[in-house]
Amino acid sequence: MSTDTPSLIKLEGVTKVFLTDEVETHALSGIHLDIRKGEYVSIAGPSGCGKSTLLSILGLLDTPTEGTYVLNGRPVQGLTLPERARIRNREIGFIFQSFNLIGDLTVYENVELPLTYRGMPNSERKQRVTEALEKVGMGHRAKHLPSQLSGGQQQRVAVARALAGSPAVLLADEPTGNLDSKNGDAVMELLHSLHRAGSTIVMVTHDTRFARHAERTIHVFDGRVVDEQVEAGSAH
Amino acid sequence: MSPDLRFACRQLQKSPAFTLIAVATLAVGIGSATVVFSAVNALLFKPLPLLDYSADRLLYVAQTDPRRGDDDLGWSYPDYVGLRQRLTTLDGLWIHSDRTVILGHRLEPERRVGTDITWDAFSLMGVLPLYGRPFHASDARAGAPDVALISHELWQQRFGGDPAVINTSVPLSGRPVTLIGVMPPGWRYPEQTDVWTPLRADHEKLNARGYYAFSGRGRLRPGVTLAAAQAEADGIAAAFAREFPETNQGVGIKLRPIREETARNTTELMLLLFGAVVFVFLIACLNVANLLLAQVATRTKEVAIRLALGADRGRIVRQLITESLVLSLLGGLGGFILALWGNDALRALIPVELPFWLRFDFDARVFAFVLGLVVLAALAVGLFPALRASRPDVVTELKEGGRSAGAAGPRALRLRNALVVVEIALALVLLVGAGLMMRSFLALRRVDPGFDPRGVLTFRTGFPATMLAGQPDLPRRFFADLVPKLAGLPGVESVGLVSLLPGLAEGANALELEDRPAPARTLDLPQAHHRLATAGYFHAVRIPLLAGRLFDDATDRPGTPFAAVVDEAFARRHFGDPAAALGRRFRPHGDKDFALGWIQIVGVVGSIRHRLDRAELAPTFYLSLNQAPGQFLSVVMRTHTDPAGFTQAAREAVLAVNRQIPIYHALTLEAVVLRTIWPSRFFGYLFTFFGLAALFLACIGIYGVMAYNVTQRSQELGVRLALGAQSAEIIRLVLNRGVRLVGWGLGIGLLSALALANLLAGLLYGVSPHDPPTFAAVPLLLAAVALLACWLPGRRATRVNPLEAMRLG
Repeated sequence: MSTDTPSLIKLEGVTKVFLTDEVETHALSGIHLDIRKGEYVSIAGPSGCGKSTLLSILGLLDTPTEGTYVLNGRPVQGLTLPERARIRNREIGFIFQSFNLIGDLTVYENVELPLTYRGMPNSERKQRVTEALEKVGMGHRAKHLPSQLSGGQQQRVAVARALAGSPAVLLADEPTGNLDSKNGDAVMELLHSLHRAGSTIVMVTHDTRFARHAERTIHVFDGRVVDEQVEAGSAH
Repeated sequence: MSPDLRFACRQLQKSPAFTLIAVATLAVGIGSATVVFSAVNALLFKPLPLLDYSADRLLYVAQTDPRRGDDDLGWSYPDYVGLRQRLTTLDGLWIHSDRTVILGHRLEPERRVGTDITWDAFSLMGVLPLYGRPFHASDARAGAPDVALISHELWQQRFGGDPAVINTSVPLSGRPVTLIGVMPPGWRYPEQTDVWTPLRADHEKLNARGYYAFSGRGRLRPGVTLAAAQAEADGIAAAFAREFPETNQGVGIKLRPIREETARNTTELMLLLFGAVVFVFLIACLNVANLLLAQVATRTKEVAIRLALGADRGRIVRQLITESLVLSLLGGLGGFILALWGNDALRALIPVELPFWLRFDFDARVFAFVLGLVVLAALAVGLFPALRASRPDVVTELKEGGRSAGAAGPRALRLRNALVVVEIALALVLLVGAGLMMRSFLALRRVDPGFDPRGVLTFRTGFPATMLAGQPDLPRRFFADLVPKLAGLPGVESVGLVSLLPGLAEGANALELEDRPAPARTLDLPQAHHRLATAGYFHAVRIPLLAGRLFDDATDRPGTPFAAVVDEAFARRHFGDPAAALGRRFRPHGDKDFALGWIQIVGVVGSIRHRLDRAELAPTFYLSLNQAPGQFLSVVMRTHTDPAGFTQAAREAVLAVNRQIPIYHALTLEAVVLRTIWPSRFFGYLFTFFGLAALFLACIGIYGVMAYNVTQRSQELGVRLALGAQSAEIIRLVLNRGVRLVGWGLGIGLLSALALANLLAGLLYGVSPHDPPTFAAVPLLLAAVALLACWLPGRRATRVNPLEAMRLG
């Protein structure tokens, strides 16, 4: 990845403090992070190190206690809830460990859901949903309910949902955590191919085997970035 | 279909039990409110049919006698004319007087209600005939040809809707009358009239000042307030008193909005009932909100996913409100169907013919009311759960196994508990009301009316004055022939005649007692009801003779001094005991209409209750029909078998005596008596229904809360079970919370019921508003049902899988 490529995500001095029963817990302490368009970054670290909190802040599901966050050139830490929802809908695609599909919606409707929040016309939604499902090889299961699919298939649907809105960045939180190795490999291959096609991906994982799929791995420990590794072949 | 709507329908399909309970609950709430609103609407809001201006301008105008506490004397014609000439704040004033008319015309004679009315009344009301012409001033002149307008209903039923009948002559009460027009469908002014005739200058009652034979109505001039009109009327009444002191001293004029007048006896009760059903509706909404709250608590993960995918909170609220709107629409539909049925049931509970303007049918206002309730219900049931569910801890929810499950905070829990307490309290108040009303009705049924209404058929028959031209003795001869004919029917035990049946009260007469000093004020004169009767009447309805004799046609002949039979109450009040009354004399005060002279008491009979819902036995005297004949009389026939089966035979017997005379109001005496106490039964049923509805909702409410508590506490219960708790202990644990809620509800409900029962005091007979059996039985019933509703979740709690509960927790 060229250093000339513009910065997509820029965190400066981000901290996150949880206050429970008057006890302060520092989940993140002074995180600086710069992720460029088209990058494939993995965030690795042991359980409880703060990587999921970091991903929540990146996904605008949570707000930093201190620090600045610039997404796609726009500071987002002071936005209202509806503005944050709008950015989540348009700029961010989520892939969760537990897939988080809505059980009462069909595969098609699950993928369509973020597009309906965007107020997109029906014909365009249909085209995008169909393309996204084809891309992850689930077009033939459009009318199924999530409960009728295997874990691997559900995660592919979740990827299609994340893709359908053409977001600026895909945030994947332990995307293989609930899958067997074969399905896990397939999902990682899918993410890899999306990256090759130009998607920016930020993935949280504690599995070093999968972390190596990324161009760059950021190691977090005790709420701080303690190391950064650039995979061979990357220009970063 | 929008995605939100599609998803809402799917959600409801997914939980059919929840949907069914929620829809049924809302249907009961909306249906109950709609039934009562349709009645309130009919009484208070619905415009008079066909009126082309606001009913607010229509006034009930009556002469009053405040000294006697009489706020509706009616009108004497000369006073009406004087008022009409002087009054400027009203742009219309008219009077009318109802009478029985008998229609001939080819078919069997038929009795209908006729009304003599000021010729321009309908023009002033803005209601003109559908066919033919209205009355003209010339129709009201003395000696003008007889003309009549008829109702659309009569035209259809009697004349087959034939337009050719207009401008033809038909026999009306024995005289040929030209039908000049047909009024529009539904117009039966003032109440149930079918035939209108112009009040003519030669009307028999026109020149009697002080004889209040007419009802008056008026129309307020636009821009004039009621107060201004009343002030002017007061001034005119004072002028009348100065000009005609003999008849008008102390006589006032009262103007009242027509709505207030027609609804004045029931408005308070209807509003009380409406208040009750509004509460029933609110309870239904809060109940469903409670159920929804528990339901959406299981959907926090779904909401979190939606939020993560870019839905803002408003969007989530919109979606959840869509679900509650679908529920409310279904509830509204169910409620509407219930209300249609309830409306019919309501009407069936009223055994008397209603005036034409009192229509319970649904109009646009009722539809708007239902729609309003649907929207209100959607917001009431959906908003709070939606607001709560739309702010889950997204990050936690999205984690593997994350479960905040919308766990209720203490505030939400307190709110739901309070709701259940209110529900129980309200159910108790309504059930106490229902219990009191039903006990009152049963007490009325047990009242000894002083006569035996069982096994008696009654009907009314007689001659309008116009049929007596040249033969004033016709009624006497007719009834003299009729009685033996009826008595000769197989299965008839005895037959009698009376001017007015028991249960139908009319004004009392002021009397002067011979050898008693006259009181200084007329108001202090003794009062008594009076009836004209035959001896057979006392036999037929089994009023016992206590002293002296009954009427004897051979002795009590026309032209001889009048004889009276008085009742025990009359005798005891004025003479100490029945025997002492014999031979004493009295006469009606003023005696202008009676011209009876001194009347000698020849017998004393048992007292009867003219109204079963009045405790006092009003003194009554009877005069012999042989001496004071009546034109219209009620016939009473005691029969050996079902009296209703004798109606046709009675009709044929009457026709056999006189082919021009119909019978009407053919009812068993029991039905007549029941009609006099129908309001007690009517409101008793309504309160019972709404009380049961409140009970049903309270049960659902307490069940919902307790079931939700069990779900919330499943981890705790699982731990307890794992530690060896027995089923009984778990049930006791759950019940304890329920018992506290029920206890609070009963306590508050009892206090409220004690305070509110006084509102019913005026409607109760033979039952104290604080009737101990009712106040004991209702809380017991409610407690039993409520505890059952607590026990069911308690039993479910014992089936919690400890392992699963602890894992999920």
